[in-house]
Amino acid sequence: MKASKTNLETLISKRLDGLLDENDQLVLDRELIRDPQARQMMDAYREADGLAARALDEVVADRSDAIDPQAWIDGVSQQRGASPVHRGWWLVPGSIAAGLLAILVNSLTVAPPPSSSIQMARGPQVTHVTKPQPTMGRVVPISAQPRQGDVMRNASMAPQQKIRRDTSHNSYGIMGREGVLYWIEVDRMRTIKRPNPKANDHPVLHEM
Amino acid sequence: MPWTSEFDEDLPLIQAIQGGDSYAFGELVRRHDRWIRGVLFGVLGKSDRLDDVAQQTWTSMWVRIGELRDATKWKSWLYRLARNAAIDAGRDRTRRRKHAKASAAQAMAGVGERGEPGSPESSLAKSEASREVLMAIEALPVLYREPFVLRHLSGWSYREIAEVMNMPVDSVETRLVRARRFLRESLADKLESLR
Repeated sequence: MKASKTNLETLISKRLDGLLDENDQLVLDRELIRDPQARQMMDAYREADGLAARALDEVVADRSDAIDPQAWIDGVSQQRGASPVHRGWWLVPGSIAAGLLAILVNSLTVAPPPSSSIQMARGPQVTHVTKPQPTMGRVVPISAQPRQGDVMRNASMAPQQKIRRDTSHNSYGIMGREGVLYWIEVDRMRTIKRPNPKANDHPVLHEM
Repeated sequence: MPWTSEFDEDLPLIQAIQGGDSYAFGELVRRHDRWIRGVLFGVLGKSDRLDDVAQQTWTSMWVRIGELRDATKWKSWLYRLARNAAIDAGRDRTRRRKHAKASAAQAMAGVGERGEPGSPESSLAKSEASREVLMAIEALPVLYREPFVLRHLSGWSYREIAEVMNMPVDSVETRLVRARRFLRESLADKLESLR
């Protein structure tokens, strides 16, 4: 079977690259024997390829003696002041400084809880807003304006944040989806630890 | 990828370079400078700035080695660095050429691409025949020139070329055939005299 010109060129190209498999080698050899034009084409390709290889060799002539990679690195290090492996050294103190800054900002925006000897045994849950439980307190919808005397630290206060304390109950302000501020008063549960000689005794809970 | 999963004798060098070993870097440069220049020439199509751009490529590799996540793919990564450096250098060349044209009226006659003073192009082409052939290679469309130069200078297989150039092996084969056809046709009337 006679190979087309394109196919012949492909076969010649692959032969010049030394990548012809056995079958293609047979096809090409048969074509070269049978067709003088194919032989001429093969010669022309081989010659052009050889000349190209020589010309390219001159372009990228071996410069291993001329180049000095160490000098390049030194030049880069002088410009940048550090080798690539040390580029991230500042990340460690930077991270520490960022962490300290975050702690500082946090401590300035969130007030510490008032000091008290009374410990909360458990706190009210947010779900109590929509389904208040009588034992835990009562939910009273009020206007968005806080009552006089209420202490609200800032407008962006989290809903669950305690805004007033007294001895009998805690008050919570929660903004509902409809924009109504719910005022929740929750009876306080205190833990009082009595002095007890028996170490295994648990603290007694008293509800006020 | 089968190519990258094969044993790579340069991988220890790459890992050493990642650890800041400048000796390993020098060794890698000596081993692979040839094909890096091939990539640069394949993209630029000119040989006059090869030394500068090759050095830029290698120093860029040293500086950015931390960005190489998978050391086994260092060759593709380095190829992209070289290619980008060549593209940048090509843009710079275009800018310089425009600038040269704009100031041609004021500057001395003959300032231009081929007449740039101090151009080492002529010294690189040692013979007239090579210069003719080199001009024919430079005239190849970059699409064909790049795989052709890589094939000749690096001796890479089609698969290796396909992987670094991110194209199918068949495309590499086709481009090589077309590059050779283009070259043969442009040198057809000169082959006799070049012998």
